Amino acid sequence: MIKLKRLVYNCLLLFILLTGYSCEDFLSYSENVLMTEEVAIKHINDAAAVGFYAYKFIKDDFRGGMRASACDEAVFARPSYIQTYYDNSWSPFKLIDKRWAELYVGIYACNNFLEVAADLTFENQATTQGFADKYKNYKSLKHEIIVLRAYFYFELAKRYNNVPLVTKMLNTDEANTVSPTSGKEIFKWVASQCNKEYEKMNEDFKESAIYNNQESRISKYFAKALESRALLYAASPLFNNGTYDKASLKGSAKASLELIKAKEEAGVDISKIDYYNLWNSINNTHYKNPEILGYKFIGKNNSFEKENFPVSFAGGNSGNCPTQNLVDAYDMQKGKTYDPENPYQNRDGRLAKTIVFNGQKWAYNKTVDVSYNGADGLPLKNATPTGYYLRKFAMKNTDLNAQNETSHTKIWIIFRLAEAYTNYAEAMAILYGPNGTDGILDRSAVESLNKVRRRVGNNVADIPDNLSTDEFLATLKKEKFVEFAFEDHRFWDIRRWQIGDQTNRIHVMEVTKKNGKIVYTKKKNAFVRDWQDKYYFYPIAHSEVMINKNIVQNPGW
Amino acid sequence: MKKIIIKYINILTVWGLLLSSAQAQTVSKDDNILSDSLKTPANRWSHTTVSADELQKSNWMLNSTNVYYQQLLGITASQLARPNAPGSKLMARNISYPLVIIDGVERDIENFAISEIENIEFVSDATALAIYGFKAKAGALLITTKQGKGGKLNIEANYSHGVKFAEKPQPMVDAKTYALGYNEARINDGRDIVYDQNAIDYYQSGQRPMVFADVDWYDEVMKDAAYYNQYNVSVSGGSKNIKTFTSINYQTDQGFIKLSKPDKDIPNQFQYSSLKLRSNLSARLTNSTVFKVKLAGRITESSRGNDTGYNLIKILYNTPANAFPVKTENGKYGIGKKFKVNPVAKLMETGFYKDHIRALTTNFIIEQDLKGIVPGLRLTASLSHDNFSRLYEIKTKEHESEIVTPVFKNGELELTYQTVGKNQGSYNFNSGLGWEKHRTNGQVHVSYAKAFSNSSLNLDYIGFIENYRLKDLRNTYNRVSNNLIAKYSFADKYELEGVINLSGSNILDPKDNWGYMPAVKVGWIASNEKFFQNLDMLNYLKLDMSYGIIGNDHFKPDQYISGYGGGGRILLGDNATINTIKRYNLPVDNLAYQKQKIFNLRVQTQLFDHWFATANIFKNSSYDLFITQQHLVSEVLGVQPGLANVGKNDYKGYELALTYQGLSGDWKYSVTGRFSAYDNEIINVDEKPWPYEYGKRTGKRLGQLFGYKAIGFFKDQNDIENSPKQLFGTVNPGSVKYADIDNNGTVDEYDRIALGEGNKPRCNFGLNLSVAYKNFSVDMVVDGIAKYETLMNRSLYSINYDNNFSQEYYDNRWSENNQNAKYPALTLENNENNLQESTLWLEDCSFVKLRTLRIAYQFPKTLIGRIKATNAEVFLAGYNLFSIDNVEGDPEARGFHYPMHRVLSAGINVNF
Repeated sequence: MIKLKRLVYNCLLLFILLTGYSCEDFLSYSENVLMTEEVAIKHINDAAAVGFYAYKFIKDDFRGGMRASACDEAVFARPSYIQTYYDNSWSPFKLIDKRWAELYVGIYACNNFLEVAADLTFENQATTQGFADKYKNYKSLKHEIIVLRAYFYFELAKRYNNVPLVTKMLNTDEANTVSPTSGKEIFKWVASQCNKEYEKMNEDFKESAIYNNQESRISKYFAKALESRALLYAASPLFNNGTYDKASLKGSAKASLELIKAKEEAGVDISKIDYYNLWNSINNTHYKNPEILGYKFIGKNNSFEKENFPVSFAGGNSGNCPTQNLVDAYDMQKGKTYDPENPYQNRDGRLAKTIVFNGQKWAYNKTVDVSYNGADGLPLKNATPTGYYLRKFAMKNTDLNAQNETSHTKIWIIFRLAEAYTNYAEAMAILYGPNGTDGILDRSAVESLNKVRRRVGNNVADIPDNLSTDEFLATLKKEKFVEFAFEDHRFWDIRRWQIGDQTNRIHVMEVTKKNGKIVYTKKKNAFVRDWQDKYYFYPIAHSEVMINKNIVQNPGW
Repeated sequence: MKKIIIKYINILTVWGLLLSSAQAQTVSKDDNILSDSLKTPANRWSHTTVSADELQKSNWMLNSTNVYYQQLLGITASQLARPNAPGSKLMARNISYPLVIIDGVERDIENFAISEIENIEFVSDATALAIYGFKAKAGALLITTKQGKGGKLNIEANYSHGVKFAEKPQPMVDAKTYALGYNEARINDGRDIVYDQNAIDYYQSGQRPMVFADVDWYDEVMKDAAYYNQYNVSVSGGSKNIKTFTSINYQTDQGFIKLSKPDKDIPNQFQYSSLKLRSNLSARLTNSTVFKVKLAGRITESSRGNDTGYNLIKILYNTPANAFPVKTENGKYGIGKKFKVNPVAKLMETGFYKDHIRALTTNFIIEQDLKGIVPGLRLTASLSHDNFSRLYEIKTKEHESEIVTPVFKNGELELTYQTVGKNQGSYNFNSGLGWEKHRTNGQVHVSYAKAFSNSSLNLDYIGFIENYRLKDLRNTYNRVSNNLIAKYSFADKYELEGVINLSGSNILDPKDNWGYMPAVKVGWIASNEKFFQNLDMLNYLKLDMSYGIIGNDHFKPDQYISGYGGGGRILLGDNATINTIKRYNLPVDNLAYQKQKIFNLRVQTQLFDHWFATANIFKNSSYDLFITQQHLVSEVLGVQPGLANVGKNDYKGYELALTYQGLSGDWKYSVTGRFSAYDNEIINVDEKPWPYEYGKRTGKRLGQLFGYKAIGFFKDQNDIENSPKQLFGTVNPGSVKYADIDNNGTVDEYDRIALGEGNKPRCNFGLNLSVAYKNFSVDMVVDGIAKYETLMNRSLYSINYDNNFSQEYYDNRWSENNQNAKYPALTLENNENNLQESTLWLEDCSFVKLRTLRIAYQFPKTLIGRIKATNAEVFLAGYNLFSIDNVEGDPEARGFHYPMHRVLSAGINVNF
């Protein structure tokens, strides 16, 4: 038999072991796999990775329905969310997209990087091989992120006008009580940020030893182009209660000219660059194009072609169909006149490159037929409602047949040199008239806009120098419509110029075959879209307005 | 601070052990370390416990969760429709799953056989729950396994054979009706018909069935009945100082697949076999020391074809009768362009899945009576280790199928064949660990009992330490729990109990990972009062009231850590992919454990000798619940705000049970009626600011369904134009019309109202009846629920994306001649509009079911004495026999499910 005493001692031992032992480690056991901040920024690659995360929030407009289909640039062939812009269902409860939330996540990523990961020295890694190049790569990131953050605020202000300007990481209470800053002040802030960083930034990222082909990163020219655009917005009557802000116009013109001169000195002449080079993927012509100053690299992708090829083409879904409004904006070539029986003959060279019209040879070497009962025309389900299909940005030699699918690299253009010329022309015309100059602003608006007109392949006449300011501005608006078609400019220009109520009637081209002849009939006001002045700004989400009492809903919503 | 208190308690107890000495006192036996102190006189009917004799009556059931838990007031059970010994889902007070404690350790009851169980008790007082520290839930099931009796060997053998009848499926349309319906949908959508008259004639005539298929897929694959067998042998016995109990239980269960096996080694039937072994030993080592060992193991193998029950049924319902023939005229399996799975081929040709479960549970216990040191002092220490693993093996292979396309050219039938896939000779084999669980638990219980002349005092210290580990990272739970319990009872009339629990857990922030949970209970045995003594009719009356705060840490580990992690990759140029790092979320401010304030008032009474009643009223306020803050923080923050302990829900209810028990000559009978009503309310939840009250989740019940109010169908295009806009998709005449509740001209998410009563029934009720006459006995359980609604399985009521639809839908669909229909018009366009959650699809799932009926005959002792048997009984029993309800199919299994079963079983129990 076991002795009682020994048994008691054994029990006590067990007892003490179970309850007297220090529970500290046992109760703080954790298998956490997340990095703490200290670990995240220790190594130069990881510190840079914190900054690169912000790049993810640059968005292209290559979705199914482009914003072009929400204004007079195009009509989307199928039911789509894009109709929310104009079918009167848009509201603070039914938002068009989540850009408000996404842009603030991007801004937080920038603030995070700038606050904790931007100015590190990595002494303990300084002797590793290749560190010098890595460090150069890393150092550049700080300036890029500052400009990127400014770009995000630009995107917020142009949509929502008054938004909170947050330049450090907040906690939940602060986020729920922060006060908004006016849109105009934000644009001016954006411009000042770009201006400050310009000198410190890279010209390009071509040096592969250091930048490993990361060529789409933000260069100094992106910053300058953003400054030029932001000040133009700051000057607009939409953000200034109906008048132009001359100081901002001057600032914009200065920035535009600085950019133009820098690029001209580097030998870039846009009149010698083919329009097609903006999206030509063969030999990567597009991102090697010196006219392009800022872009998002998308990689091999054929969903754009799948979306926009004509309905009878393999894989095609019609997508964004250009309007007659846009087609009418293309001038005739020098000395030619309009022929209603051959409406696309002798037109501005950009027309045939941007738009697929009836009788044009397109992908698969197939000729497009948009006539009524034609292969690509009504009443076929999902055929173009306007008589046109989109050509710009689509690569002709893409094959969408199931067995042999091919795709090409795409880029989404954010800033390019031609805009510097048109921005300059717009600012100068409002300040000094079409032909005026002033001191360092030594070119006239007409001279600047003509540079764009004279692009190789356009073959259109110059703009005369005997126009009034209003006439010139009308020509400029038409030129922008044409030059920047489908580059997500028109939608915002309509708002900036406050011509929403003049651009909501969509015209189309009806093509019919009569007795073997093709007849072109323009149909005016085929679609009349809802326009209310509240559409000049996006509605802020109802939940945001409810959570933060300082945020005021935009008027009319 | 809390750690100091613990150290102090430890020292105090050790000091007490070492220094004091007094007389011994006999100790009460209780294997279950934590038991209720209610005195239970011999004939008292308890509505919260059930013992081995009652449990014996359900030993023909395969799954231990199917035991008559409904007898326990506060537990509700709903049958699950699954293959392989399906069980019931148990709920404590319709709040949450109960905490299941078996032999003092949290375990899974499905690892054990019914014949191993001695006793089941349901507790819901805060004083009984607080003891479990951070594991506590709204109720606990305390289960003890059999200890056995000392003395002569007693062998019990049981055998039962059951036949299961499958629930009848919902009839789907045949090929001809499908084609007609399809054509009608096309016309409704403004398009041409697809099936021409030739095709329809072939469907009608049934000629060339291997081209113009008309297959009842459900009938091809499923059969009506299947069987199971259960064998059980238990042996108990021992000597003066040793008690043992050993049992072996073996079950096999077959499923409802009709097809034969492709090969004897390749199962395609749902098959299940399970072996459960147990050996419990209790040995008195000295006259004050008892040593106990409890070992139990389980080996289960289940196998099936390469589809789960749910997936298989879904395919059988969703494949139209004319999709493709089972086999084409060339002898190859048929397949379609749109419908790519042939269910018969899938079960015959594509392999199988096997699942092996290995589980081991162990308890090692020492009970030491320390009367030699201090009279009334006892120490129990126990250690247990449980292991569970599930391993799977899969064999797959491809097979060849053929698409046959009939085309009519100038009235002539032309067939084109296209082969899809190819026959793979051998199987691909894959195996792995599906799941595993390990639990190591140590407990110490020191108790002191002191009796005075008119009162008694019990002091207990109970400490737990537990490590619980699951498969995969971040699934380890370490918990420590210390309890101080004091019970004082005076004059056999008044009772006072107080519990303080101090617990720590690794789930909480190490800076603050302890919590304390107090609870108190007062009881009054009114029938022992002088003024009640003269009331003859009143045999017993007790009131008790308990109140306490229990806590739990039922959320994932590491919530207090805020870190950085991968943000995905980004492309910055040709072949220039870069990793990014992002901040995942802000840390949780002041991570706290979730709490429940539980108040319970109970009345127990025995009247007129034969009537027993129990009534409970409770209120459970759950707060500091760990919820998301998505909608409580502005998006300007730019990062996930992390969860916070700001959730709050309230539960309340009452429970009544009334039993009449009687004896009259050779008749013995008892009837019990049960009724419980529950309600709950969301006080605080993560919800975006809502403009109107009716749409808010806050203030409504948990799991409340939301949807639109359907007000009929659109009559014609005019009606569509003059009604508020519905933007879910295409709207045609015959589409469902919804109410625009907020009158803004459009029907959108702000027009959603609350549908139904929440995600649990509001009322549970039942009736148990037991009658015995001489050697016969009849037991019956009736179960029911009321006030519970769910949404119908809408995929049977539309031709969405060419899917199959039910005969019921076809017979009651909208058409221009039938505008007062039950269901919308047939349409092939995106059915988003018609299939929205709405009042149209709400169905009432209340029911009254004859849950169990058992008729038994005990052989007379004289007869069986000849084979040296002490007891022999033969019985016939049935489960889920009959249901009164408002729905097609079984009210407890909605949506696609493996058929619910009705069981008829016959068996025999013999004791030697």
